[in-house]
Amino acid sequence: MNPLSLDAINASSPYFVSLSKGEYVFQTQSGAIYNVSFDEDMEIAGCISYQFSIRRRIVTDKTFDPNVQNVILSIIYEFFDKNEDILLYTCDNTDHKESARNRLFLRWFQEADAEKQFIIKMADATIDDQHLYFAIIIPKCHPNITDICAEFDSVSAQLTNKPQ
Amino acid sequence: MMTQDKLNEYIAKIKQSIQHKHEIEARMDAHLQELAEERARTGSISVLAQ
Repeated sequence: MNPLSLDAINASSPYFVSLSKGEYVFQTQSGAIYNVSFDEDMEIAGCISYQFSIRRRIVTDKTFDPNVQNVILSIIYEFFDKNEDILLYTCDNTDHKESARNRLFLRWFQEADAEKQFIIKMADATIDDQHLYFAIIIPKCHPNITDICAEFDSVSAQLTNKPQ
Repeated sequence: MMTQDKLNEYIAKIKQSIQHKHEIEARMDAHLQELAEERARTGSISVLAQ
């Protein structure tokens, strides 16, 4: 993965973002600490994808902070500015609250009108009695976008229609 | 339509990916724990100093 520019992220991020142990870290006004990570994962249609993850540690009950959305979007936009790759998001149902929180980023992305630049595909399926949720974000300029979308659609359609 | 072999290959990849996700989250939580401990000890997080 090509490294992201912290200067570029911090030019638009409401909170100061730093790199620590390969993860992007920031702290909110209420004291919550977040880390964001991109880890190389499965190939889709022969193209590398990066697993996107957000974790947080809160110190108060005041959890809603609209600035967090803008920080996360600044990091993701910088990821795509430096990397013409697929962003992959997966989760299972082991922690319903965490899954719901993490899926928020996809909604943020859609609300940010990112669909002009990116294709966002989501699917869910039950495999081995486990409900799984997965999504990909691909820049529209990706040279293999047609193959990636076709493969994702084919897999998700078959998994959705035929429980494994 | 994707062949069953290809689909099975994808199911295996998705399972691996979920396992990978759990490992990543454990690593990230350990990192958050270290950062929180540093803040409790020093009053700030050094990597976030501007």
